[in-house]
Amino acid sequence: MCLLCSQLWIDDHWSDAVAEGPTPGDLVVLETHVKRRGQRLLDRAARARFFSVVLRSRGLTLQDWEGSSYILRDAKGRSAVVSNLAQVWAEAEAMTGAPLDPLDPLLLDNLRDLARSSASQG
Amino acid sequence: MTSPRDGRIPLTIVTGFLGSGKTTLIRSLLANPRFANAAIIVNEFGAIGIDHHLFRKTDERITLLGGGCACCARRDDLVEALLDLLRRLDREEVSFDHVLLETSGLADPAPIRHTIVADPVLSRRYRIARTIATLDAVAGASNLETYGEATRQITSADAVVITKRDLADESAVSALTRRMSGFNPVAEIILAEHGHVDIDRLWQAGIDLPSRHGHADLIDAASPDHDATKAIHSLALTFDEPPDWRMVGLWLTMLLHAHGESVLRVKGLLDVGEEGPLLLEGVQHVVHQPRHLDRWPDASRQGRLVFIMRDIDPTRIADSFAAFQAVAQSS
Repeated sequence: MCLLCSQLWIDDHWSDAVAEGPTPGDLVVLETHVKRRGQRLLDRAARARFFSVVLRSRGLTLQDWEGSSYILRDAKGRSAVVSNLAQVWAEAEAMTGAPLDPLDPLLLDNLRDLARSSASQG
Repeated sequence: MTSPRDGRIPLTIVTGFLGSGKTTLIRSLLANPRFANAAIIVNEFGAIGIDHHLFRKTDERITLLGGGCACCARRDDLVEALLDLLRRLDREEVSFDHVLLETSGLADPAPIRHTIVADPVLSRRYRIARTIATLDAVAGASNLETYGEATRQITSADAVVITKRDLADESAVSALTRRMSGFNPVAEIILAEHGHVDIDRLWQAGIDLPSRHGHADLIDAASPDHDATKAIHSLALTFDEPPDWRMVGLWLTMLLHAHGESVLRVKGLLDVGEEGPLLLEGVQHVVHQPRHLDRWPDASRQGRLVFIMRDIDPTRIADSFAAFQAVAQSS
């Protein structure tokens, strides 16, 4: 439980590390704490957005839920709650019924096309 | 010597194949003021331990785990030994500010790290500071070719101490050193002669990423020439522009989910817009909580990510990383 923002924190997964480091000397300053918490939520939202872009071809989306878990959904309307990014992949594979591999050439071709198309629109 | 940031007790894993000089190294460490107040846990494969009698300071801070490896058969005993040290520390029955864990000669350090990181109590009280592997200058090359355990010990290490240099000829030591550089480019390679080793360099191991491979966009340092090791590759990615850290996390969790058994090691320094870099470190499926360093270890301030992998073409990792980052940059 965070005493400053009354959030029930579960252990941070390593991927939740925020870009800004901790306050030197372990001095907890409320403003800094709030700022870091805000950045953490923004980062989690960005990760969920990236996931949804990367797995769009598999019909999966991810949404951050209050900074404590993620909600995974598929195109059939099924959903699952997972604690962190490490757990999302097994659940996503269970939903799609197929392995998810970041080295899959088809997935990478798809991502390159997405990036090119976004860049040309931007 | 507890971490100024979080108060956890640093733990150094000393690993290495049978007879490669782990106990001698620990004795050297204990003679140095930095490790003088360390507690010691000795894991021996045999049922009757010998190594723990070889330390001069045979006191209540030495624990023997005999009769099996701490990475498998004696895993629960390792947890209990570390908890017991904490209990006695809290009751002020012992005093220590560091733990040296000597693995058995056949142990795989990765499950040991996982055991500590995954335990809710241990992970809050101990911080794995570094893994040091010893490699025999005479028998090391043969051990690497013959025993998978020796290979895993080396790829997990932050520093490799090549022992018994005085017993091997210069060309063999040079060949072994070159081989280690390709085998595990994130590790400091330190030569020990007559049991003497540069403790200051060992002290830094686990914090700095050696910069010797920092200027190429992509280095594939495949280990040379033998069946047992030819499938192990390393890859160093360097970045002129900082990669999107959030996408790095997404990509790496996906990679480790799909290929965690084959990605033996990940280590990186990433520019996240702070004065110092973010240190990212993982061994197989286990990634440690990233640490913010106060400063860059070298003047280049160039972000880098190093992978050691088995049975994966390094270019596939590089291509995948680039494709995911392209999505992040264009989103």
